[in-house]
Amino acid sequence: MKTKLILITLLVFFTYIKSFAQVKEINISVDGFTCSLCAKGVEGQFKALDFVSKVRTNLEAASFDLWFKPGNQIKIEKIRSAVDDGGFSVGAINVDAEGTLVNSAGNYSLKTGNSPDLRLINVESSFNDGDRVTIKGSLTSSYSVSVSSIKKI
Amino acid sequence: MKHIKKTVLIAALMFIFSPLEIFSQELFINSEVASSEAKNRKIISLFINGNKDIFNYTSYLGFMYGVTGKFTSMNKIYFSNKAGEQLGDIDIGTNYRFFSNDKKKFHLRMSAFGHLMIPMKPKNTTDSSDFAGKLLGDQYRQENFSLYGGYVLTILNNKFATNIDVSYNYNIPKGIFRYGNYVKGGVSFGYLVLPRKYISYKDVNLNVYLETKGYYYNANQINGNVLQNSGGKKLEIMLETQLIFFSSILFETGYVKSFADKNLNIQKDIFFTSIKYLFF
Repeated sequence: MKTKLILITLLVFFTYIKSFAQVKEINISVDGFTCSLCAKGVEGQFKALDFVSKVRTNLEAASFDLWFKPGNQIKIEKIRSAVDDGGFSVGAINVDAEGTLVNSAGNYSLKTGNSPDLRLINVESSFNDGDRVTIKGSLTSSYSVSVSSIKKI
Repeated sequence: MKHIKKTVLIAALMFIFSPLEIFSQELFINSEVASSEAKNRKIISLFINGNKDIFNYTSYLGFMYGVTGKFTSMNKIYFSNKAGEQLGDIDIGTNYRFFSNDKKKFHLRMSAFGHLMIPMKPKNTTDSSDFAGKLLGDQYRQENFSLYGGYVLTILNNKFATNIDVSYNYNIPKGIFRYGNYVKGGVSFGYLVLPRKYISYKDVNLNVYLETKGYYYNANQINGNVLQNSGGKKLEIMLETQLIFFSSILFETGYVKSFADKNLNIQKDIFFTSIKYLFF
C-alpha cells in the first residue's frame, strides 16, 4: 500500500513538473491584415499546425492567440510560415512561458519542455540557475525572447 | 460627364470622412488584386451578366485556389444564354504577388498576373462586315485565343483601398479573323461601410466599390487585312456593392456603364450579380 502511494505521489509530481514547464501561449499580430476573410485564411493555416490545440482570433486587433497540444514541440518557424501561407506578414510575437532558468555565465535561457530552449534577454542578475519562473516577452528572433516580465514561482 | 463628376465626388467624400480605426477591404469584383488567396483556400464563384439583350460571354463560373500564400490559380468557364452556344471560353489564370509592404492595417502590394483564354467553339469567319466594330470580350470570343498579362498595385489604408492595374492582351486567331490586341488600365476604389467595428466572423460586411477600366483596341483584321471602322477606345465605370456573410459567402451586385468610340458601337450598360463561396 505504501509503495503504491509513493508511486502515485511521484507520478503526480513528475506530471506536474512536465506540465509546469512549457510555452503556454503565443500571441501573434499580423500585418497587412485587412478583413475577416483574410483573418479566416490565416486562422486556417494556424489550425493546420500539428502542435496547435486552439486558436483565438481578435479581428479588431488583427492578432491571434495560440495554445498548444501537450507533448508536442512548438516550432516558431512553422508559425511564421503559417502567416506567410495565409498571405500576410508577421508583426510582433509575444510569448507566455513557464520553465526552469539556466544561467550560463550571465546568459539566461529557459527550459520549457515543449520548445527548444528560449534565450532570454533583459533578465535581472538576481535570478539563479535552476529557478522556476514564468516569463512574458516578445520574440526577437526564432527562440530569443526580450523579457518584459519575469517572476519566480 | 455629370454622372462621373458626382461619382468622383462621392468617392472623395467617403475617403475624407473615413475613420481610421477600422479595417479596409480590397476584394475588388472586376479587377485583378495584388493580394493573393491563403494557401489551400478554394473559392467557387458564379458571375451572371443580367442584361438579357446582350449576347456575350461575360457570365462565368469561376474557381480559385491558393497554391501558396503568394501564388493564386484563377480559372473561369464563360457561358451565355444563346441556344447552341452556351459554352464560351475557358480562362486559365495565375496571380503572383512579388512585392509586399505590410504594416498594421495597411499594405502596399504588387502582383503580376497572366491569363490564357481558350476558345471552345472556334468559327471560321469570312464575312468581315459583322466584325468591323466588334471588341474582344463583347461578342464571339471563340474566334481567338488570347494571352493577357499585366501588373497590379493595391494600397490599403484602414477602410479605404485603391487598386491600379495595367495589362496587355495579345490575340491569336483560330481562323482568319483576328481581334485587335489591346491595352487595358484601371483605377479602382473600395470602401468598407459595415461593420463599424469587428466583433466576430459572423459580422455582415458591406463594401462599396467604384471601378474604372480604360481600353485601347487596335483594329481587327481578316487575313491580315485591317478592317476599317474597328478599334478604338472604351471606358467602363462600375458601381458595385458587396455583402459578405459568415466571412465565407460574398454576394455582389453592380452596374457597368460603358463609354466607347462611335467606331466601336458598343455603348451597353450591364447589371450583374455574383455569388462566391470560400471553403475556409
